[in-house]
Amino acid sequence: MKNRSATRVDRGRRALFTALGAAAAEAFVARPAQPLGRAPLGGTLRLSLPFARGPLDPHAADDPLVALLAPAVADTLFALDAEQNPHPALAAELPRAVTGGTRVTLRAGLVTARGKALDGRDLVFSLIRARARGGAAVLAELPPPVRDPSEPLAALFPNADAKAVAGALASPLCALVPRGFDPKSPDATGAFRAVPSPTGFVLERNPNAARGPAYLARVEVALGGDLAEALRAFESEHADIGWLGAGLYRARAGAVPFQGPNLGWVVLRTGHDAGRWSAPGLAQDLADGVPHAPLAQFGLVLPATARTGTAWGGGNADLLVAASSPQLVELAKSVAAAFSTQAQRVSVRPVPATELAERRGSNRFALMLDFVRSPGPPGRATLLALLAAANPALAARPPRAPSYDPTDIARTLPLGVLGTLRVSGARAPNVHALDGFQLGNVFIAP
Amino acid sequence: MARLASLVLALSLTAAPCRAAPADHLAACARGPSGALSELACKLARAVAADAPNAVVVGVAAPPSSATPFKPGIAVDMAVKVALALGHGASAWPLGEDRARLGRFASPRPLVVVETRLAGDAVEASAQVFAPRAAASEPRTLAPIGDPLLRVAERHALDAEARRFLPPVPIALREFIRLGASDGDVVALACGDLDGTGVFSVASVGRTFVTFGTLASRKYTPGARREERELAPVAPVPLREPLAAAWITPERALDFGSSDRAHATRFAAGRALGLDARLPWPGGGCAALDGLLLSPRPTACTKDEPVRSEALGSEPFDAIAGGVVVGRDGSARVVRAARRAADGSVVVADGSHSARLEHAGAQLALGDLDGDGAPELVTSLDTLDPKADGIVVYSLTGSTLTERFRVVVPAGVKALAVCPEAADRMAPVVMATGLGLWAVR
Repeated sequence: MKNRSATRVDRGRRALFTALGAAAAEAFVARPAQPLGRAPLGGTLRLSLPFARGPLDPHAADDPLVALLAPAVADTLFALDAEQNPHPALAAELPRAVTGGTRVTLRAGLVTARGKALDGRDLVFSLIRARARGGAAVLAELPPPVRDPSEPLAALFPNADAKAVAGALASPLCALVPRGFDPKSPDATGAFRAVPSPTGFVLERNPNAARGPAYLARVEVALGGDLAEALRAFESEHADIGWLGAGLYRARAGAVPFQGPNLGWVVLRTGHDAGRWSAPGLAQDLADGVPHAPLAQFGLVLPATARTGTAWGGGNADLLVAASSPQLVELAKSVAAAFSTQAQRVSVRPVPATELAERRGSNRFALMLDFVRSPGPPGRATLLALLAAANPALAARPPRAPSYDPTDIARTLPLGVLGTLRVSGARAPNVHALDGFQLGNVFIAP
Repeated sequence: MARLASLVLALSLTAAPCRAAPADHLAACARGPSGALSELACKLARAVAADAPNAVVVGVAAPPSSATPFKPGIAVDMAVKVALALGHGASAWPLGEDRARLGRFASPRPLVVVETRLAGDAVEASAQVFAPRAAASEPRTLAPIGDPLLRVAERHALDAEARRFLPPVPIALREFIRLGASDGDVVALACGDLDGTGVFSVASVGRTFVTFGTLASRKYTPGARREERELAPVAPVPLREPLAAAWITPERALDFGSSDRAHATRFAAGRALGLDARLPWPGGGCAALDGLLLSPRPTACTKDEPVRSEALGSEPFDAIAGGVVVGRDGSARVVRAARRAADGSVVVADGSHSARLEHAGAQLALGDLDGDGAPELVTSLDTLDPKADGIVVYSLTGSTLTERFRVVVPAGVKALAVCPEAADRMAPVVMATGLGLWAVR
């Protein structure tokens, strides 16, 4: 026989467990789980990544390494919650409609990792800089920001909608950097301070981080190797993350698979040298014709619905690709193989990033495998990103799109989407919170 | 016999020998940590002092019952305390009296009748001042005592000083109660008597809002909310995983703060005051950030306030708790607890003793659950998996921590607070979980 108090306890526990199921669903759609114990502080995360060493420019939209690491170094003015609503991050408040426009005000007391105090001048500098680079995708629709004479920490967007401003400034392509920013020695307010090292970068915890210093003391990023080298480093326990796999020859013992966020899209561009094959829409038809199987192993998330594509018929051609990204080079080899026949040969030609940018700008190429960084959550940001990748002017007056599926959007553009580049692979078992690949949140369990 | 008793009373009061020594008692009644009975006595004395010079203070005792469970001894105890607080020639009647006998009291000095009772989970004391009246030559002709010149009443949460007149309660889990929904980002909780009504206020400190509610018996009623950005700006360098603390002080203020904000806030009588420190340290004083952690050395919350205790060791902490624990003698002491970030151990100290718990979670709370004057430490478990979380209750006796019970909380514990003591059961432990606010009692 149960006594009364025991019965009450059981009923309470049942209520707690029953409610647990209901709230789990709520938490899934509402907000990420909150840690209960404390995330351990300190430790070093070792990364071996198949990318060449290069500048770390948060405003660049064409570099997968930047998409991966820049959010650890530079922060956005606003952040998006689970419902994609912006809320202030480096901004003191949501954009405010004032006479003459919309005001964005920085939080007081912001200081970069190298000790530079930030104010409205840095805000305007950052946004003008971003607008001239990858940030054009989300900023082109807005008027250029100007200094707010009445508020030293603010910038004004003349005649702009406050909600649109907040949405745009939540993009990582509009991160805040100080005046005089040098991407070779990046300095901002992120969880880490990037310091060039002989092998790549060292990300050191930023004690001035405006959104909180990182849990890890440092991240050692070894660059310059290829995919095999990155996998070998993980297998031999010289790295804590296996890029695209758990080992080169065999899976590392205890390795845990992980999937990170989508970094952006791998696109096939057709340029002036492709002649009639550079017509809008043909690039997507060509991308649809590339067999999926060889691409998936290189971290590409392929379109859900396979379409019958068009075979390349433009004769011998070079397929340009950034030499700094061995992963893209491997993907380019698969594309070139698919386009090559006995009658025509498509050759992969890795070129430096600067040359790739120059060719892209001048349209002097036949085929190019390129990367377009995602500026925000799926939806309209996808449209803006692909428009800007084709021509930044298009993003200033975006058309109404019946679909935000990237392959549908690309059917009107001189580029085709091969697939989405996603961070995936394996992690050492003591490395945690990698899912979002927000390195500031990553910690190493003792 | 009755005639004789009346005469004895009259004579005794005329020549009462034990008078309280003159002192600045009323000044000593100033706000500050002390036992419930001592504070009530001070407040009553302060209220009646002008109308009762050289008073005789009589405690009224009712026989213990379910409605009035206090032991009769509380009547004399309160009478003595009020007399001492009155000072200036006041004296206490050495017996607990009942109401029927009060009519026979005849005194050339003002009579202060003190009555103590339970009001819910609070102790309520009242004082009535009666005018002096001469003893009658014939007791049957003594006029009725009449209406009091003045009546005042005060309430205070129970503590060990008052609880020694109540039957003991065990530290044992009797029930889980879901109090209600809470913000999903609660980082600190406080529970206490914020407005002096004896009803517990529960303050939930989230990352955006601080929410007030009341807890009466099993019923939680949400109340006002304040947006934290109205109270304190965002810290230039907040922490990724916030450190936070909150408590309701003996002065009935809510002190709260988190590493998200540039400074902590004190909420009292509906007004907010910015403190000079980042976090309050429950029990008294404040805490400063030391890099990504908390300094072990308590600091002053404002430049006018003293620092009330020594540093707890030399290593930084990632969680702090504390409280003012009242002993059975009414003396109050600050007890602090803190979790060392380096190894997850928790140190508890009260100034004369300290104890160490080898491993605990990052949610801590301190209070006297059973009202015996010895504090209890409540901790979460050291896990990042909500399903594996729970709370453990330890009693601190001298330098020894003894586990009393543990409860699985599969929704995860985000914050903890111990409420003031209850009359007939263990003091409630309030917790913020992934499923809202719950209480264990």
